[in-house]
Amino acid sequence: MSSVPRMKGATKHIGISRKRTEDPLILMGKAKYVDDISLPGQVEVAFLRSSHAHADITRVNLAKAKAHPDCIKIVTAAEMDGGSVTYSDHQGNLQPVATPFFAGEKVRFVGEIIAAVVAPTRYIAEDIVDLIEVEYDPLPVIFDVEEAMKPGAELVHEEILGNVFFSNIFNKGDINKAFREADLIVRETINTGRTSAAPMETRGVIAHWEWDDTLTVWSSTQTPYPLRTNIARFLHFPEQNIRVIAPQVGGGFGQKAHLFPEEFILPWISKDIRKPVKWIEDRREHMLAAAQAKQQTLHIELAIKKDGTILGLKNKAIGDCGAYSMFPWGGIIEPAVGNTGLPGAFNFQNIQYESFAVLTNKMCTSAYRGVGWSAAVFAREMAVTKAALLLKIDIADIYYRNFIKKDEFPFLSATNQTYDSGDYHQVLDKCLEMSDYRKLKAQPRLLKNGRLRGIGISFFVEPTAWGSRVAEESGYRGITTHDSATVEMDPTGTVTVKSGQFGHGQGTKTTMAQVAAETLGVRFEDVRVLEGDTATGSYGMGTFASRSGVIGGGTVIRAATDVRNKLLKIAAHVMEANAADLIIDEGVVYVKGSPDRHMTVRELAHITYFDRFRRPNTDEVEPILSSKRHYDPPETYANGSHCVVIELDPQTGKIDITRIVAVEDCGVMINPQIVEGQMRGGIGQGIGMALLESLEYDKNGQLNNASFMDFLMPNACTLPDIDCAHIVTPSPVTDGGFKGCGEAAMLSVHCAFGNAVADALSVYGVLVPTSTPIGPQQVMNLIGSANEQR
Amino acid sequence: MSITVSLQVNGRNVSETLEPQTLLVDFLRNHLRLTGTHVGCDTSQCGACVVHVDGLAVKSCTLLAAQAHGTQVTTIEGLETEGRLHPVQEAFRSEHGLQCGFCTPGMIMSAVALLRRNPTPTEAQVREGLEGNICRCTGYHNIVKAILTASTHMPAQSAQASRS
Repeated sequence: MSSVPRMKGATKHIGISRKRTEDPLILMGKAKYVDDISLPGQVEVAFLRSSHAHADITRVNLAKAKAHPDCIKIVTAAEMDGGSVTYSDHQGNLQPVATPFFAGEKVRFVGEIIAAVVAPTRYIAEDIVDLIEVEYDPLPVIFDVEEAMKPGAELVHEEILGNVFFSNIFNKGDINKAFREADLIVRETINTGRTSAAPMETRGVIAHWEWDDTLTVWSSTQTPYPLRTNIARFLHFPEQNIRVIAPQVGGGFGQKAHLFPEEFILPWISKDIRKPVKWIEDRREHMLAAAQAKQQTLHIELAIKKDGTILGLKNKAIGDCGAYSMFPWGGIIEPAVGNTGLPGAFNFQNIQYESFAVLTNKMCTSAYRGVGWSAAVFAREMAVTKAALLLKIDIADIYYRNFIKKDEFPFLSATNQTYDSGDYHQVLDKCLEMSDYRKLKAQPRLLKNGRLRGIGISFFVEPTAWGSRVAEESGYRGITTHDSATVEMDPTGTVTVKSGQFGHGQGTKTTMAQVAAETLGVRFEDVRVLEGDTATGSYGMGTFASRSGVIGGGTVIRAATDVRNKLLKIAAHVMEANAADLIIDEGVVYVKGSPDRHMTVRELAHITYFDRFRRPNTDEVEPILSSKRHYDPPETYANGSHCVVIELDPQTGKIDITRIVAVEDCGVMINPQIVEGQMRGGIGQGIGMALLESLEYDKNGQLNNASFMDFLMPNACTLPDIDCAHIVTPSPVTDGGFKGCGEAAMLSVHCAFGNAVADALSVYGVLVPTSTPIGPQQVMNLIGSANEQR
Repeated sequence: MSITVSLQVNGRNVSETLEPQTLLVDFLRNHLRLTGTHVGCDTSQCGACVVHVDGLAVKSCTLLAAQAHGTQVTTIEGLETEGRLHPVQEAFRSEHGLQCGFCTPGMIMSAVALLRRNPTPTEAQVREGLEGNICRCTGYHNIVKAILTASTHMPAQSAQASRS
């Protein structure tokens, strides 16, 4: 355990809903996203993308395109020497799948890049793309994962047999005994739909190579430092000469925590043609070629006693990973990571799971808020929902019966995740109370308006603080992930934090300033946070996976503590007091018990830098107020509960949401308003996943809804107000007692909807959804299946 | 063939020679460098590009610049006055009605137009009024709250203040 000071009990800045420092520029329309940046002499890129899902390319004729008077350059696989990036985290039976920058002799999904055209403007570049002639020799399309795994199936990559590039198996406890002793076994096949994070800002890259062999890259990314390092690795460019800037980024949700081919192609072109180049993804490209997510087939089996005691769980998770394994997470992130989250809040210890990552001729699936877990917990919860209905026990009572108790932490879950803390009973109590759950459950489902009311509940445990240890407990043994921050006190006593985190909606400029102000004892207004620019930050992995509050907060606490201790040492010398007797409060240093003896931080900073007669001997105490610290936290797991109330129209299958309640325990909250923003935002996206969103590929691998016209997402009319509440159990293991909070609802709220639909349909029998999204068609099919049974 | 388009943008007269197919949003962003108006979907669903043309909220990705000839256009940059935020902008800040901020300018322009039509909307009317604006970060809750807050704080003349 660390020896740095805890935040518990602190009140000046932590736990205060400060207005975000990010907001004024955004509100005035002056924040600069990648597309808002224009460099003198800049030219633009448009991509020719495959129109076939699986085909040999027999001929690419560039003659007409090159003859266009405004054509500056056309780049194909041959030009970039067949370059690729490879996911190669060595573990289990992982076979590396290289993701090429350009398709070479074969295309493997619709949207794969074949050529890049450079022209003075995007309009012209698009015209030139249309002049390129490509001849395809179509191959059979691999569409369905279970077909793909059959012997003799067509292969997406010749070297990957059975199209399975990763598989693992995990056993703990005595699963056979659990199933022998069960009073009820529920077996279900669950299909979770393929969706897209669909951030409002698409991807975009500007690359600018200059004659001193420096390269500046602006990218709409969540991970500026890893992008810098990997441009250096894969393009063999000196890393010290690369500067990556993630300017204002319009949402990421995990999708922009990958390194995409376009982020390598643009820098390569800029160096080659010695001009700044720009590419802004249009929405159709985004739907086709930005990371997709969530598609799995899961065969789940639940062993349960009559009284609701869960004895064990079996799961076979098959991820539909698309045509490549996206760098750096790889397609294993869906099935393998998902399985690690199967136990959730339950104390059972018998488990068996298998994970298969399978290649198909679609765009890759990879990280998106709640990745992997969304599918696995939906499978578990639909099985538990069915058990509850068959056993005639309220699902909330099954939760209570199987919860890990607050005095059992630290608790090692069935999948060996080390839960640090929590009070699940209290969280569920609060959620049930706020939503009037018991009262509503006792009322008839059929309403006067002819619709059926359904009440659904869910409970989640969320792995947060994605450092090396949580990554390992979530299925990534080989990944090292940690961060750093520099805290500097300026000569006038103000403070600059240089962070390895990078907020793109999370408000980390605000929350990291709150942590620094609290630790140092200075005013919030006197702290500025620099992030998103590798020239002014501090090495870090970026913001994703509910990690920034905990890891960023920890780095800032550690560095700010160093600076504070240094300042106090100098203050003790200047004020002729004992350092232990000094306190700092809002920029003023006092001697305890003698409120008259005080100096401002500003005066002390000035003395430190400029007054060699008053400060201590510089051989002993260097005249700088700066520290850079690293943090790779222990595992910490947040938890929470969602309750939803729906009205379901049995004539049409339409679902209206009438109430949503969310209760969450993310430990010590830095800024409650921002935490609630994350809670509600996750619920919004979770509703999309639960009820609306599905990327519809046909059997030829064509995406039929590659625009916002056809891809259905929640709008303001989809949702009611969302009631939030907090239970705070500080993490006993992390600096500050923080736990993460970003992904929460995506591990939970869709399960509450599945549960609510089953509750509404309970008037017909035991009918439980088996796929997401739960659209009107599925609801009508469920009702139809009940009628058939009669 | 080029055409000349003359209009008033944020109270300033502008006259530019353009290719006739230039979209209003490209004219605002690329010619006038008013980059607060965003493009999110290209197909008129997301509303990140909403501006006011003669006081009406329109999606500038779906209008040719030529169609705005002779009109008065207000963009997000025209909403604050001398560094003072418009009450709707203020309310978005105090209610945390934005996260990544990409949809925010279009959302605010829609909200200002909505409040001009109906200065005291109900929650349901606010939600209905935002149907053409997609936000992926907030779950809409705080956006709706911000607009309701603004409606109670907005003096009657502010509702008219958008220069149109």
